[in-house]
Amino acid sequence: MQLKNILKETVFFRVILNSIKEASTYRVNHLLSFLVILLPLIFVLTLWDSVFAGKNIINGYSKFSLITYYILSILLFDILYPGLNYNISSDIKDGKLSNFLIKPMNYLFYNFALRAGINLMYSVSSLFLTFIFIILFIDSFYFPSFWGLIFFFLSVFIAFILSYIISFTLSLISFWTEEITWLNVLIDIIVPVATGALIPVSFFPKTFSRIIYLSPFPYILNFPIDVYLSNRSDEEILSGFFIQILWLVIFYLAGKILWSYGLKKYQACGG
Amino acid sequence: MIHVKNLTKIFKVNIQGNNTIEVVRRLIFPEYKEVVATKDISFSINEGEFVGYIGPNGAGKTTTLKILSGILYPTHGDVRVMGYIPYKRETDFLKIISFLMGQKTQLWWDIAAIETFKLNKAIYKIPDNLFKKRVDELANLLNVSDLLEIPVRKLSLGERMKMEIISALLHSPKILFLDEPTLGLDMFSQESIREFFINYNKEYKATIILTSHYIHDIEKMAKRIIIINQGSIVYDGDKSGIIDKFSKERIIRLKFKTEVPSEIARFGMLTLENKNECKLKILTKDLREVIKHLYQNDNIIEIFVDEVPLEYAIKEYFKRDSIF
Amino acid sequence: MKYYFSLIYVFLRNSISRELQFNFNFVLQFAGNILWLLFSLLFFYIVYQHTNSINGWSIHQTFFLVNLNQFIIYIYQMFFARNINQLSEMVRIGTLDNYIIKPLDLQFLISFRYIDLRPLFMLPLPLFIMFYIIGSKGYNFSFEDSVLCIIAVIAAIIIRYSIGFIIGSFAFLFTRIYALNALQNEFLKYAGYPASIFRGVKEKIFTFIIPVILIANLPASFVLKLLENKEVLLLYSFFYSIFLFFLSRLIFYKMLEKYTSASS
Repeated sequence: MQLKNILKETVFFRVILNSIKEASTYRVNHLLSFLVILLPLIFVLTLWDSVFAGKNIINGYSKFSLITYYILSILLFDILYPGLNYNISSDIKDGKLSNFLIKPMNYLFYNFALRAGINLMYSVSSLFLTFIFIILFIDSFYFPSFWGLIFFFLSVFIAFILSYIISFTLSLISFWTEEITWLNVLIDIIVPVATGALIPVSFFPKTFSRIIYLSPFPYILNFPIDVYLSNRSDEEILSGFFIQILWLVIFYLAGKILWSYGLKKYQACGG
Repeated sequence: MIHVKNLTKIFKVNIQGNNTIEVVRRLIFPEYKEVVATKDISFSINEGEFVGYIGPNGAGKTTTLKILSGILYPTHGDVRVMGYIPYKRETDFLKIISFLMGQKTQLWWDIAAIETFKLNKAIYKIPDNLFKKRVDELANLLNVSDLLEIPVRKLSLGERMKMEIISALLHSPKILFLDEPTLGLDMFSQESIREFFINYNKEYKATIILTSHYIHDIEKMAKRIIIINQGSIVYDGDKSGIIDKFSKERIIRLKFKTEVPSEIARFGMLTLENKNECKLKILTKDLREVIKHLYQNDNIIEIFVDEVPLEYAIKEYFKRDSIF
Repeated sequence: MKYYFSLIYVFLRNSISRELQFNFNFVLQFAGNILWLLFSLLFFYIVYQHTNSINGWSIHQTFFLVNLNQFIIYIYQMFFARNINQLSEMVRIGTLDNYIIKPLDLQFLISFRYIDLRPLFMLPLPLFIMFYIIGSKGYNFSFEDSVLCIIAVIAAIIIRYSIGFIIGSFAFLFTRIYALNALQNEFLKYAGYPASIFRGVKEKIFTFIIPVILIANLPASFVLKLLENKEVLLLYSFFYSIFLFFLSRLIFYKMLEKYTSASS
């Protein structure tokens, strides 16, 4: 009882709660999201269905693992997308950051709680969609072992934090320039490709996939899904976790540095 | 407890080009213009004072407030608030200040105001019973008790502002910075908000620094006025002082037992109101002399020295200054 | 009628002067779009590493299809994308009122208000690739075929526009729905998939109800000679586009009525 009350009092909890309350005022958005997800899924799966005619395995994926791959990819994409955080960039641009500066709280955690709250909402609809898709594709859906599922959730959790930190750090560029549309365009092109959302990274030509694996992106989506599909050996899973955390630390440090320099600049001329 | 010494703040502003060629050139070789927001200003404010900080647009008012609250840091000079250096933004410092920015809301838009209050409760670690007491108290004073559960976007501008105020005062800050708190509000809301802050200042001995365009705000609320123009302080003192200092003329209303004697006209410009009432416009510097003389006149029943509106005084001052 | 054309000219002029302010952005958007097209081609290249034909479509035919679809996407982006996307914002902020009082057909005004010139510079690329494929693979098609192809493209644009406008009109009901815009774009992206992947019920649905196949596959088939009953489908496409256009007008003005009769 004590712990529950203490938890309720944290800023973190309050922000998440408010975030959820706000997001739930947009229920129709979620209903439509279902259609947005279903249509592409049908197209992609039908395409691969034709390609798999007469074949069993392509690049280490069976038809069923690939179908499962795409279902998971579409369900997780919105939650794990490391795009620019518009809350942060508009806070900086419009001077709303000043409101946060005069309060004794941590901006990084505040935004994390904000995003967590919103995504908790999405997760609920995602869960619902997951059930529907599993039923629709019950013959083709892959069900992992118990430990496979555990590791999967763990890797998604780390991926979520990683995605947030990348998003936060990139958004800090607003301290130095108002023009961020170009970065957005860049991200919109690179991310769907590099995270493996559109096609598993291992399908790319050797050189491409090597380059992509040098970036953190495949560890956000492709890696967790591969863990789910048991496509990786134990050593690969372990090293995958390690690399996820490594990138997390790198971007966290980069974020801290950018924040202190950016804040100095903001305090010099912004507000 | 607020000490500002030789505060200078200079902004480096990017100069933009007018046509494509200049824009490209400035992209590679950026050019800056230096804008001096505050120039070597100094003042001290004691605990519990209610200070009005006024000046024309761009004079440096908001900049000063932002430096005092730690949002900006000074280019030169020394600023101490309750012993803290603001831009260091130490937690203990942040817990005792509050900044109300008229234009930038801190309320969450689609949900009830009470939810934002609960968030602030968590941020400032306000105990449960104190929180409840504060919310009830403040909401009562501002007459918004039954609006607490309504989504903020459904409230009127005046109601929203009152919620902002509650939000800003939940943690009982010792120092309040108010930046244009009544901007855009209707007359009644402005009145009730002014009343509120006057009482708040009296009861809680909170130090309040207020900037406003509305002279009525300053007139009603502040006792001490600091006028800043083009980065420098041109007046720092009591409200009444400006009136004496900057308005050249006063108006005296006189009521006589009999008809208004024509000799009164020698003191200044005379306007007859009716048979035995008149208005006399005299130079401020002559006020004491004229009053002395008038008292010696047995015929006079009443003497009123009209309050020169602060607005008039300040306008007069700025009018003069711009000629220079 | 001439009046409306002269207005398009004015919109064009305004758009040009706005664009000069955003040169850097323009270059980036340009690069971004090219990269996206290249990736779409890369995607099918990868798919074709594992199969020789997708139910009868060879890699070059699919490439042609992707480029034709991209061409149609660019035309849509040039004229309509931004205007329709901004409809919801105009309703939310209230700027729509400025347009309502103008003495013009409102749907026309909203649809042609802003003409985005950037896609114009990107049009040559898919066109070039398409002609290259036709040339190097020696496709034979008659003049009649190319005319039918163009008609199919026009019908496709009208269909795309109408559906976009219908979805956009729902902005009157739900002002902050980002999913609406996303929904439209998803729909168009997959028009570049070869129709041969669909069989049976799916084929019927995506031809006649959610007319994805009519968008790019139909015009492409006049050149590539791949779909059956092309002429019948073209007829259907033609009438469907007219139907959808008038449906969009109906829905839009119905929504507008609700909007103007309610107080702000």
